[in-house]
Amino acid sequence: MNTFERPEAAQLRALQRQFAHQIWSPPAAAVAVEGAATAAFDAAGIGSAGIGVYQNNTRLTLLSVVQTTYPVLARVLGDEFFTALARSYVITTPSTSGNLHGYAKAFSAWLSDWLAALEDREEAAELAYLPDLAKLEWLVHQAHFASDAPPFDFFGLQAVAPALQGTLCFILHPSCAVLQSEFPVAQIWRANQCVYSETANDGSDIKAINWDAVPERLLLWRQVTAQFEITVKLLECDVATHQFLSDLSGGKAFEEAASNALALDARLDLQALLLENVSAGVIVGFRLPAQAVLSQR
Amino acid sequence: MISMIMPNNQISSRHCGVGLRAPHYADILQTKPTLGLLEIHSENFFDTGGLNRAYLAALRAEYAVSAHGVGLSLGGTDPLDMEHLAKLKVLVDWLEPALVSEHLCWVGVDGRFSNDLLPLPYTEGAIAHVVDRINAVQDYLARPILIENLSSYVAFHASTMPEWEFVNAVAARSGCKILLDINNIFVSAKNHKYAEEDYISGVSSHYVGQMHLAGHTATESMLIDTHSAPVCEAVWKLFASAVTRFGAQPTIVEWDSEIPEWAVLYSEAQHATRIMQGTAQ
Repeated sequence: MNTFERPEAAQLRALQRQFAHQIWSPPAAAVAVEGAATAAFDAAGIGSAGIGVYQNNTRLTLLSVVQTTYPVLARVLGDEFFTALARSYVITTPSTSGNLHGYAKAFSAWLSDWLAALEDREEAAELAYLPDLAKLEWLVHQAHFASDAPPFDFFGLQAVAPALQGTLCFILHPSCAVLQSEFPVAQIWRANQCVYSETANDGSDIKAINWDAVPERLLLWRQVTAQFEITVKLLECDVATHQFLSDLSGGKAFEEAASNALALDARLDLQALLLENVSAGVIVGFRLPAQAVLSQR
Repeated sequence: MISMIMPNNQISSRHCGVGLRAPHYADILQTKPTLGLLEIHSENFFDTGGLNRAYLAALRAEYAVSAHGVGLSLGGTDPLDMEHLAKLKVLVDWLEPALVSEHLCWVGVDGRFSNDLLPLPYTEGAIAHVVDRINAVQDYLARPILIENLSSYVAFHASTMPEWEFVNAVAARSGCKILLDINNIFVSAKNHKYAEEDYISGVSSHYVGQMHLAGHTATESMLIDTHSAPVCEAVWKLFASAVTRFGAQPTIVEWDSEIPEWAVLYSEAQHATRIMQGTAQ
């Protein structure tokens, strides 16, 4: 539906395209086409410096979104290297929304592409953990803003007929993510939670990492620790627990998730695991499949 | 969606307020300073959970709040972003803000956003276009909005009228009010070499419903609207003229980068209040 069919809109659009072209041109190119530009925008005594303000504002706004989303990457790589990468991301990744919240989400995928194209294969191998670390930081960032959940309905759960309990689908907190990495990204993330100091990072935090303790099977979620105080918890899970939570997160029914988990570890105490995750605020609710609800009545 | 049922939705025009930023949440909640209005950036609260929302709910119970958008692109020529507008409506229905405002600008074209506030040419065609979109937004939100004048760094040859005539016409034809940013008037007036007092006397007093104050940065060739400094003396003076002409309107002081301690921003708001009450020395 195009509700903006006035002829004036087409004129305005042409002008905006010309303006946008100037904003996105590299500064040197913007100066080169200045003659053309002044046909539409005026110098007003400001000249190309005027367009320069918009070029700068645009780039700095997007850059600061990337910087505030990935503080651990910045610390691990050092400000200079990280900022260079973030700048390249900004130049090659258009913002597609008036809301900046999701702008930095694709940084992990961008880092994968960047590593794949890197000529120095040795450096690429050393930095191969970056995409997963970025993914983890994005999930941590998301966890801060995800929706709140009402408290777990224990009475409701008790009311479910025993015969139907296997069909229950447990619901995880909206901030919750279950992930796996072939790199020790949780170790790296934890080692870099201290307040950023003025002294240059000499990489010692990275050297202390046990690179053999992989794969990491991780669970993260937001916990309220006091009024106006939250913390994003990051836990390493054993393989069976990880499978169970991953199945729940994927919407699988309790029965199926339980049998998948028990196949990996027959000694797994499912009741204890459920209780533990309910009280930790990981599991926040449950639902019955629609048919089960009908047959229960 | 259940709204918060908040009693306090009365803006005090006797006291100025501030742009609400995260570093000051706890200070404001603990010290409960006298403030006429707290203004949020709407997009920062599109997400519905977490600490941001918890603080906003607590502050909303104590203060009148206004929602100020930066991303709707009222002057844009891409179709109006209905997903963005829907999120704004969800926020507005929950928050019940005293005022809802947007900028008189565009922020992107062909699906690519600059996320900066970009200026419009001041033409009859642009008025017609922007009025259509403001009407669509006001219909969707079922309430009038305010539109804010920008700081600008380029001017268009196509413009056929001064900025204030453009702003007046948009307000007159759409029924929206004007959020007059006094610092933006000063910055644009200096950059484009006209008298800032002409702008104040050019805006129709009938439409002004809110005012903004902020600090800017001077470079060799121009002024840049950075919101990173105290309000300068010349802008305080212009604000006094604006108060004389438009009366005591809901007013806030914005400070968005290099954000200072709460006491510094609060003293700026108090100074604005003294000017508004006509007691400035």
